[in-house]
Amino acid sequence: MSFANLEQFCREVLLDTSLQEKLRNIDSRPDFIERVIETGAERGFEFSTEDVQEAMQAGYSAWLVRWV
Amino acid sequence: MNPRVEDVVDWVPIRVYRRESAPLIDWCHMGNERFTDPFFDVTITRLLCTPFNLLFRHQTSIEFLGEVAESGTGIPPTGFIFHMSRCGSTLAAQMLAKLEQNIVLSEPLPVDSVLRANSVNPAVTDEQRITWLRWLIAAYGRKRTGAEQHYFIKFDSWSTLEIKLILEAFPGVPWIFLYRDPLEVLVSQMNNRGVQTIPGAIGQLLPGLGLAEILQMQSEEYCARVLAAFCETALTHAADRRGLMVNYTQLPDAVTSMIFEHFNVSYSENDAAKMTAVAGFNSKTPALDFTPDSREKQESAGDMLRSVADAWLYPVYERLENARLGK
Repeated sequence: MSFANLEQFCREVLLDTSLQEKLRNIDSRPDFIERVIETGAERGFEFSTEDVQEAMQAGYSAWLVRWV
Repeated sequence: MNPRVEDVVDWVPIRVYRRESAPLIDWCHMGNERFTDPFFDVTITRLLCTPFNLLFRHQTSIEFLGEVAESGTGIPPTGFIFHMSRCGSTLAAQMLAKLEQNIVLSEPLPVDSVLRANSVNPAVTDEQRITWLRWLIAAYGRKRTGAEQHYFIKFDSWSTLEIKLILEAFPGVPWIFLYRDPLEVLVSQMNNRGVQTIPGAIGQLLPGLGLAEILQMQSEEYCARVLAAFCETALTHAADRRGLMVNYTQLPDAVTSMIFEHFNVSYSENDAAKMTAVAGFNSKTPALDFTPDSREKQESAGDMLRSVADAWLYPVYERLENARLGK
C-alpha cells in the first residue's frame, strides 16, 4: 500500500514544477530520500525509505535494460 | 495520463519501449544541460546519477511526442551524420558539440528504437516510423538554453541501412557519410567489438541471410560484410545532392571547411578554432590526447582481416572514393 502512495506522490510531483525545484538539487541520496518522505507526509502520502529506494532502483534498472 | 507539453519543456525522451502493443516514452529532466559527451547514452547515464532523475520520470504515450512537436518550439535539423563506424564520426560530432549554439545528438538510443520498431513489431509501418522519427527529432530540437541555432544528429552506423526512410522523413536536410580505410576500421572493430558486429545483437543487418548461416561465418567475415552493407547503402545515395562523402583522412579540417559549407552553416574564426582544438583529444575519451593510429592499425592486421577486407570492403571503399572524387 505504501508503495502505491509513493507512486501517487510521484505523479503529483511531476505536475508541480515548484515542488520539483525543491527536490531536484539534492545530490545526497540519504538527504533526498529523507526530504521525499517528509514532503510526501506533508501532503498525506505515507511511504517508507525502502519504498523510495526500490523505486529509484527500478528507475535505474529500466535504463540498464534499454537495449532489451 | 500524459503531462502537458509545458510540463516537459526541459525534459528529454530517453527510452522508447513497448507495453503490450503501444510504444511508450520515458523522459528525463535535463534542465540546461547539453549533450556534450561522446555519446547520448553517456549524457543520460550521467543525468540519471541524480536522485531526482532516478525517482521522477514522465512516462508518456508516443503520441504525446506529436503534441510536443506541434508546439513548434524547436529548430529543425541542420545536418545528419551517417558513418561506417570507427571512422572519425565521434570526432566530427564532438567538434560540433563544442559550441553552445549547436545541439548535437550522438547515436541517440530512442532514435534507433524508432528506426528499428518494425523489427520488434512487424505491424509497424514505414509511415508510422517516419511520423515517430519526426516527432522525436523535433522533441530534441527544442531550445532549452536559448543559445541553440543549429542541430546535428549523428546516427548509429547501422542506421545507414535506413537512410532512405530518414531522408524521406527529412527531405531538405543535408547529410554526410563518413568512412575510413576498411582495414583500419576492421582492426578497431576486432579489438573492441561494436554491438553491430555481434550476430543477432541488434536484429538482421545482412538481409537474405538467416541467423544459422550468419553464426557459421568467421567473426571477421561477418564484421566485414556488415560494414560493407553500411557502405553499399550509403553509396546508393551518393548521387543525392544533399549528400557528401567524407574520408577519415580529410578530418578534422573537413569539418570546419567542406562540411560547414555542405551544412550551410558558418561560425566565427574563434568558434572554428575551439572546434578544431577538440581534434587534439581522443574523441571517445576526451581526457586523453589524440594519437594517430592508422599506421599501427595497418601493420597489426593479420591475414584473415586482410582477406575479408579485400573480399568485402575494398571494392566498395574504392567506389566511395570514386564518388567522393567525382570520378
